[in-house]
Amino acid sequence: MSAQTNYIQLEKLGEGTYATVYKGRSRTTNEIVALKEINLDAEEGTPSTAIREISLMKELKHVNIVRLHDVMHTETKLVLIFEFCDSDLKKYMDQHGDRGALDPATVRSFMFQLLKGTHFCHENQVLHRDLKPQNLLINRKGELKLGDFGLARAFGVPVNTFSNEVVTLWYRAPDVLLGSRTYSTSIDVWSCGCIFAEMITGVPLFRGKDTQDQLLHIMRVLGTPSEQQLAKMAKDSPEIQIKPFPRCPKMDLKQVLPKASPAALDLLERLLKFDPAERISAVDALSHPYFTDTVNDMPFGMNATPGSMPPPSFNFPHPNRHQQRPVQHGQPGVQQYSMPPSMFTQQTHPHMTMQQAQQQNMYNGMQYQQQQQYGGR
Amino acid sequence: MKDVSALHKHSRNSLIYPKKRPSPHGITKSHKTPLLLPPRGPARKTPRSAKAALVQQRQREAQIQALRRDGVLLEEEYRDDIRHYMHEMERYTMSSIQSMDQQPEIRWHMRPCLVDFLVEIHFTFRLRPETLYLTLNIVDRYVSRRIVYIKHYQLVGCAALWIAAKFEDAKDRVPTVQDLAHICRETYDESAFIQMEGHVLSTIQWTLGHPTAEAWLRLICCGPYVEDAKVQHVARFLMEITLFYREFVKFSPSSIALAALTLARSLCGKSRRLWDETEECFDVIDYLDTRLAKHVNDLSETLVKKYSYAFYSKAATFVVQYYLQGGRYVRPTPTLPATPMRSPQSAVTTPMSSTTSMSDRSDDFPVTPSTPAFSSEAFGGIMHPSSDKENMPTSFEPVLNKHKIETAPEQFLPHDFVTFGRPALHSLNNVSPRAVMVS
Repeated sequence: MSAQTNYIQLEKLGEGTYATVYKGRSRTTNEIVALKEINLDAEEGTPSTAIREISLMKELKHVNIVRLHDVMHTETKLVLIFEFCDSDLKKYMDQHGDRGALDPATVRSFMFQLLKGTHFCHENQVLHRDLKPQNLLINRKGELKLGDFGLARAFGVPVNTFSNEVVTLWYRAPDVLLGSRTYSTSIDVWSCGCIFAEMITGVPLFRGKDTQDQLLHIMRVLGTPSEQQLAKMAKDSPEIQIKPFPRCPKMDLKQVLPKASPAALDLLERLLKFDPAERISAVDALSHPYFTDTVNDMPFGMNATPGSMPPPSFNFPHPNRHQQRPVQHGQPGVQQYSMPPSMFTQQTHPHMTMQQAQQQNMYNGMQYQQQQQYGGR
Repeated sequence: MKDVSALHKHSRNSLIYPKKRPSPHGITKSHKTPLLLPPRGPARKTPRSAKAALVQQRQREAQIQALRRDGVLLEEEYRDDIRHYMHEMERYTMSSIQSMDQQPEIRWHMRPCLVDFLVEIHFTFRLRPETLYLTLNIVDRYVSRRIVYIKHYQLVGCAALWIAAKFEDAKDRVPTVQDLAHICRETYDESAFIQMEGHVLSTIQWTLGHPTAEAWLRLICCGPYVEDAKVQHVARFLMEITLFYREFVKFSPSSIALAALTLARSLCGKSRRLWDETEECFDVIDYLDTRLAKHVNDLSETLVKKYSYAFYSKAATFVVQYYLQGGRYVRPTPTLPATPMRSPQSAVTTPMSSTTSMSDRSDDFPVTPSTPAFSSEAFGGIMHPSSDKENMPTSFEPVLNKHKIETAPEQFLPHDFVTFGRPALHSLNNVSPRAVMVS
């Protein structure tokens, strides 16, 4: 029962340090999947990264986390079969953004989904430890999914000491940069903050060359923390080495991200706290006014240029919606998502705000009747 | 029996956590409220379970209050979620004692030999404490599902340890294939470990998220009261004892951790924590207490040696002495709201009597007034007259050997032939792991 017999291997999608990813199609269901092939070393046996990735992802079943469908284990290689996503956040920003910067509604939708996925990991005792745009996959429905759990780890409640060689430098939290080994969920929250800023501006927020340089980049924006703050952090995790840092004043985040709304800046401020103890948790961030307030990044008649307003949410489904329906029946290969009433979920557009999404959810019943009518024609 | 209870738990579970159609936006409900319910649940509402519910609720309230007060705890936001998830995973990763009984070749008396061997490797490679528990959980789940021949028992153990170490430990600590082959005295080829590793992983379906007793202990110890290092070490020693024997396999790690801590607190003369007790936890304490009282000399020497170091507060020496002197655990009177001062037995464990004198308690040892009378009747053979404490530490080793001869064989249950099991496994493999580790 090898991957070859059940899945047809299609084009190569990418190559990582220890794995190669191919597109694949199931012979039985025609479902499009991603095949991650890991060659097994004769000495090492199954790599610990693979053991962690598989055992952790098996438990994490959530819309915002890439689903692991199956594992094929042979003498020479290990093939992980994942749900297929068309793009990742990095590519998405390059393709759809204005020089990388996404529009506020998309940022909000992606940020919400990112925090949802992160929160789900954390409540299931998993630290991702490598959140960055390349590891956030986006499918054609505009769903954002956390992927690549190769660095992930389970944690107990009083956290263990871990390696501090984690997370891609630009998204690494300052406490980890200082050498902390008792970090916890706050490490992923920092990465979320960096990604948030990157989605708004289109460029990574802190681009250091090495650990020290990265710390300086952070301090240039957040300001050098006070002596007391550093002392407190050192008390929380004694392995931290505090060196004298150049004094930097705190910058106003409004200057760094001129495009961001006040609520977005407030959330960003809470995500990017220098002291991990002060950093907001993913679950609290989800109930931040940025996500819950109604008029947020689109004050009526203020920012909006004529014609740029989205249609009011009660207008869904779009009057011409039924014209796109043949996709449903046409090619079976396209229909790789197995959500039962797929015609509804596919309408979840990334450019929709959360309120709209919720309202749409509410109107699903009504919409269903309309769809029925269209189907009858 | 196990199956029935599992079924029961399941039905209770689906009552409390109804299966919800997942929202397309991934909005899930948090499971905060069901946590207040006790493990046994309201489906079978006996006075006992109602009481347990009350106790648990009080425990949670007390803990939450203390948390608020301290505000020092890490991951407060996720504690409830994680605790809930751990209970769920614990049920999911239990092994089946019935299937293990049906193994054609492996017998329960061989288990202590394997555990002994694993404890030794685990200690030598300085792996995390969780790794040992995870290893045994992997072995148990594998043995519950596959027939294992004696000649492969040790190989399964090594593969499980290897997997657990890769999951839990830092890369540089994980033993290499060469290390493993060397430890097993080249009984198995290097390729055999890799093959077995793959086989074990697919058999247990890559499920490694087992909440270990160590994880539970840490969760309890970081609660409102931070436990002494000594109490923690004694609890860890007791928890590792539970890995050796059949009677503990059916218990969940959370009960084992709670029982070990409760017993450790009692042994160290600490006051009883009001919320500690659940019925399952008392069962574990009973088994542990009985085993230690009857067969304290048959404990694994490796384990006793490991916990005799000063950095483990000499926990093993302490526990063995306690039981050699005839100390026994006294179960607090079960009626919860009763005035605790009434009965003479509970007077020992009421907070008033022991909180003040906790530190000197361990010095003048068998103070527990009610115990000697009780245990001398039932277990006269093992009872020592409570002697002067000076010569206890020196006489510890010889006493251990002498008693091995003295213990009456009729007291053993069939699966208790600890001393006979050890050579059986290793002679078949032509391997003595102990010799390897010593050389």
